[in-house]
Amino acid sequence: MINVQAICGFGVGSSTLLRIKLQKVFDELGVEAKVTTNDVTSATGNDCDVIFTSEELGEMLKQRVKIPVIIVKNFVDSNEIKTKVTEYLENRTEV
Amino acid sequence: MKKSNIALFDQLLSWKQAVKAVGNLLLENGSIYPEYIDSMVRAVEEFGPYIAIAPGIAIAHAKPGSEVKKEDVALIVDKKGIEFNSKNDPIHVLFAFCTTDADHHMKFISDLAGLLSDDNIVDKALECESKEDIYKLFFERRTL
Repeated sequence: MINVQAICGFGVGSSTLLRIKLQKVFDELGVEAKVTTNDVTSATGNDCDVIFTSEELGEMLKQRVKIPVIIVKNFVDSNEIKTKVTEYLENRTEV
Repeated sequence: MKKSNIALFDQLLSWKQAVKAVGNLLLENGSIYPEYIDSMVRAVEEFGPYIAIAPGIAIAHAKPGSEVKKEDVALIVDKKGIEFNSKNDPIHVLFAFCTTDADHHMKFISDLAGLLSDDNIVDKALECESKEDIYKLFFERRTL
C-alpha cells in the first residue's frame, strides 16, 4: 500500500480534484494506494510515501520534506497524471 | 447553482480584478462575508497562481469556515482572458467556491472533475454568448 498525499494551499480545493484523479490512476494501474489531501502548511511528509502538488507549492515542499515531491502542471489532465504516477512507480522499484 | 452566480466578461482582467469579481457574485448571493474575498486574494499572493489548475481554467477559494455563510459556487467566463502569471494563462474560466467545512463540497469537486475531463470545455466556454449559454454548458443536468 502506497500512501499518497495531494497538496494545495488549503487542502480542500485543487488537492481534492487531484486526489480524485490520482486515486483513479492508481486504481486503473492496479496499484494499491491510499490518496489523501493536505494543506501545504501542515504537510510534513512524515505520514506518506509521496506528494503530488503544483509547481509553486512543490518548490516550497521540496525544501522541507524528504520524500519524493511530484509536480503536476495540469490537475485535470489524466494523461499527465498517469505519466507522472508511472514514472514514480518505476523509480520506486529501482530503489 | 443559479444564473445570478454567473458573469460573462469581454475584457482583459488582472487576476485580482477577476478573483474580486467572482467573489462578489458569492457575496451578492449572501453566501460569504466580505473577508472571504480578501482571503481568496491573499491565498494567491501567498501560494502563487497554482489555482490556475489547467490550461484556461482556475478555481479560486479560501479556507472553509467562519468567513463562509453557506456552500456556494460562482463562475466567470472571460473571453479576452485573465492573467494569473501561470503557465496555464490566459484563464478564460474562473470558478470560485466556498464551503463551511472540508467535507461539504466533495460533491462539487467531484462533479467539477468530471466536467473538466472534457478537453474542449474552454473552447466551448468561449463560444458562450450569454449567461444562459454558460449555465447550460456547465450546470444544466448537473448538481453544481
